[in-house]
Amino acid sequence: MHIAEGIVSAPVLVTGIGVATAGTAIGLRRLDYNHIAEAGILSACFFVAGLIQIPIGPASAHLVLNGLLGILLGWAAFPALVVGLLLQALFFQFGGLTTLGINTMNLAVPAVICRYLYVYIPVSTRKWKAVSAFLCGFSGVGLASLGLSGSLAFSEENFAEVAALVFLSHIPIMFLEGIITAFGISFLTKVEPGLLPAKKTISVPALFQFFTIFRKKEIS
Amino acid sequence: MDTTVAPIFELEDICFSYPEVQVLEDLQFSMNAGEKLGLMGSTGTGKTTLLHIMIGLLIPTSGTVAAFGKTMNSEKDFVSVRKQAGFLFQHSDQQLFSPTVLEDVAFGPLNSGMSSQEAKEISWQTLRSLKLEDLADRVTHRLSGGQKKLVALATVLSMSPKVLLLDEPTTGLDPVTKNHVMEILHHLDISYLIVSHHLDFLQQTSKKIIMLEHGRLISNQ
Amino acid sequence: MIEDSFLDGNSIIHNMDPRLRIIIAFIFSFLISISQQLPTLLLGLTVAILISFPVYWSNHRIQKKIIFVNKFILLFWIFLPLTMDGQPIVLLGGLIVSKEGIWLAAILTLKMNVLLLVLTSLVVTIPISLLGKALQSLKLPDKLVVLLLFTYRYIFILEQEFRTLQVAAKLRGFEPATNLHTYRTYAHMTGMLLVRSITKAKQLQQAMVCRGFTGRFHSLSDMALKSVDWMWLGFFICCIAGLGGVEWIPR
Repeated sequence: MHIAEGIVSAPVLVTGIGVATAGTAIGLRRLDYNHIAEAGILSACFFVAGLIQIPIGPASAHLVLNGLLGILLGWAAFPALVVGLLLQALFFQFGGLTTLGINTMNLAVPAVICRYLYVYIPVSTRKWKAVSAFLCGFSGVGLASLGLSGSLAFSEENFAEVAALVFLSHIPIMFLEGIITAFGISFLTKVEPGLLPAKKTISVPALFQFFTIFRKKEIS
Repeated sequence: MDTTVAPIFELEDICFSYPEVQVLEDLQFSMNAGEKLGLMGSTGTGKTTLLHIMIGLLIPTSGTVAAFGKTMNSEKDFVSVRKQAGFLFQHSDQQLFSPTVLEDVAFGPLNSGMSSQEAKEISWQTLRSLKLEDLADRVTHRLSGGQKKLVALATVLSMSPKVLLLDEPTTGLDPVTKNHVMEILHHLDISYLIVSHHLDFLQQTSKKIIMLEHGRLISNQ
Repeated sequence: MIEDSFLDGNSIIHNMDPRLRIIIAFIFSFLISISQQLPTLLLGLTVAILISFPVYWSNHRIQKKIIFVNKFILLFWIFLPLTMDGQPIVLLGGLIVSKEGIWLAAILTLKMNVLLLVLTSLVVTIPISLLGKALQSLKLPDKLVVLLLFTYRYIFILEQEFRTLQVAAKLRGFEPATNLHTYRTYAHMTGMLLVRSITKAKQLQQAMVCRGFTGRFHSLSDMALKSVDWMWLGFFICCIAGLGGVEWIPR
C-alpha cells in the first residue's frame, strides 16, 4: 500500500512530511530504549507481512498489519512505519524518499487511531474482544485506503476515478485484515498478554491524558 | 495393495550440491514398509539434505526419487507423499505455531478436511497415547525444549502417517525426555527413519543403521 | 527469499559522501516530483542517466530494479488514457482513448523513471551500516537510527523463520485457501513469530546493555567531506539550479 514517487502533488507531499515528522517525534518521545528492539521487530514484521501472499478469492493480497502494529505500539507506530517504509523503498523501490512522509501518514495515523479504538472500546467477553480487534484491523486498512485515495484525488482531479477504484479494491483486504487482526489479538491474549496495551475506560482524566500527548511517556 | 509391496522410499543416483559444496554423490537409498532405520553421519554430511530431498523440499541436481511406488516428477506428486510421511524438524520451534498444544496437534487433522470436533478427538487420542494429555491446554510458546519436542512429535503423529522422518530427535533433550521419545518410538508400529549422530540412541531404536559419508550411504548392520 | 537488495559496488557514485547523496537525492527528487514542465523532466532524466551509468558499470542489478518498477508503470498506460476526459484519439469498441490521458501517462512514466534512477543510484548504493552513520551524522534522532538498524537486522531473520513455518505447515498438509482456517493459521504464524522474536530481542538488548550500550552506536570512522565531494556538491547545485530555472523562469 504505497504511493509511488512522482504521482502526488506538492501540497500532499508536504502535508505528509509534516504529519509524519510530528507523529514520529511524538512516537520517539514515548518509545524508551528498552522497547526499541520490540518496535524494530514489529516494524520488521510489517515489512515481512508485506511480502506474504494470502489467498483471497481468486486473487491474493499482501497483509498491511498497520492496525495490529498500532494496537501494540501506539504512537511508536510512526517511527516503526517510517523505518519499515524506508527499507521497502530502498529494497524494492515501493515508494521513495519524497513519498516517505505521505505513505507514513496514510498508514500511521490509522494505526494510532486503532490503538485508541482498542484501548477505549469497553468490551469484556471473548466474542466482543474479537469483534473489537476485527474493527481495528478493518479500520486500519480502511482508513489507510481512504488516505491513499484521498492523496491521489487531491493531487490531480483526473485521478478521481483511479482513486475510487483504489479504495474499492481494498475493501476485501479490509475484511482480511480484520480477520487476521482478530486472530492475532486472540493469539497474543493467550500466549503473551503482556504485549497488549491495558484496556481503559473513558473518563475525564483519560481525555485529559489524550491532550497531553506531547508529554514524555513510555509505551506500555 | 501394491503400495505395501513397493518400497516406501526409493532414491536412485541422487546428486545434490549447494553453491559451494557437493553434498550427495550418486546416492542410493531404499526403505521398505516396516523398516526402522537409523541414519548416522557427522554434521554437515548432508543428512538433513537427504531428508528434505525425500519429501521434495529440495530438488536433487540429478537422480530420481520414488515414494510409495510412484516416481516423483513434480511438486504436485509430493503433496500426497507429505500427507503420508510425518516429518519431525530438528528444532521444534520451526514447526509449532498455534497458541495452545491441543490446537497445534489438531492443525494437521484440520488440514486433511476433518471437522473441528473430529480433529479435537484425534488430537486428544494422540496426546493420551503419548501420555501428554496434561499439556493439552498449555501455551506451546512457554513449554520447555523437551516438552516442545514431544508435542512436535504429537503434531506429526496425529496425522496418522505411514512413515516417520525424524531429524535429530534427541538433540538437546534431557535424559528423561529422551527416554520418553524412545518409549514412543518403541510402541510405534509404523516405519521410521531417524537421523542422528548419537550411535547409542540409534542402536536402541533402529533395526538397521546406515552411515552417510562423503555423499554416499554405507550400510552396517 | 529476500536478498540484500542494496547495490554494492565501487564507483565514483559509491565513493561520494553518503550524507551528500541523501540530501541531494531528496532535493532532486522533490523538484522532479512537483515539476510540471517537460523540459525540466528531460533535463532531470539526462542528469539521472548520467549518474546511474557509473553505478550500472559497477553493479548490473540496477537494471533489474528499473525494469521491475516499469512493469507497474505500464498500468498507467491502461488506466489513464481510458479514464481521463479529453480529446478522443481512438475509439476502442466504446472506450475512448483520450489524448490528455496518454500525455499524462507519458509525463508520469518519465517522472517516475527519473525518480527511480535517482533513488537507486544515489541512495540504494549506500550500505546499511553507512546509511545508519550518515543519518546519525545528519542529526536524525539516535533512537530512529537504532530502530532502523534493528529492523534491518530482523527482516532477514523473520523472513527466514516465516518461510520455515510455512514449510512446516505445508508438510502437515496445509494448503492456503480462502477460508477462516487459512487466515487463523497465518495469524498464528505471525503471532508466534512476533512473540518469539520479541523474547529474543529482549535478550539481545540485555546483552547489549551489558556491553555498555546506551542507545547510540559509536562510529569508528568520522565522516568528512573530501575535495571530490565538494566537486559533486558544486555539480548538483548547478543541476538543481538548472532544474529550478527551467521549471519556474518564464519564457
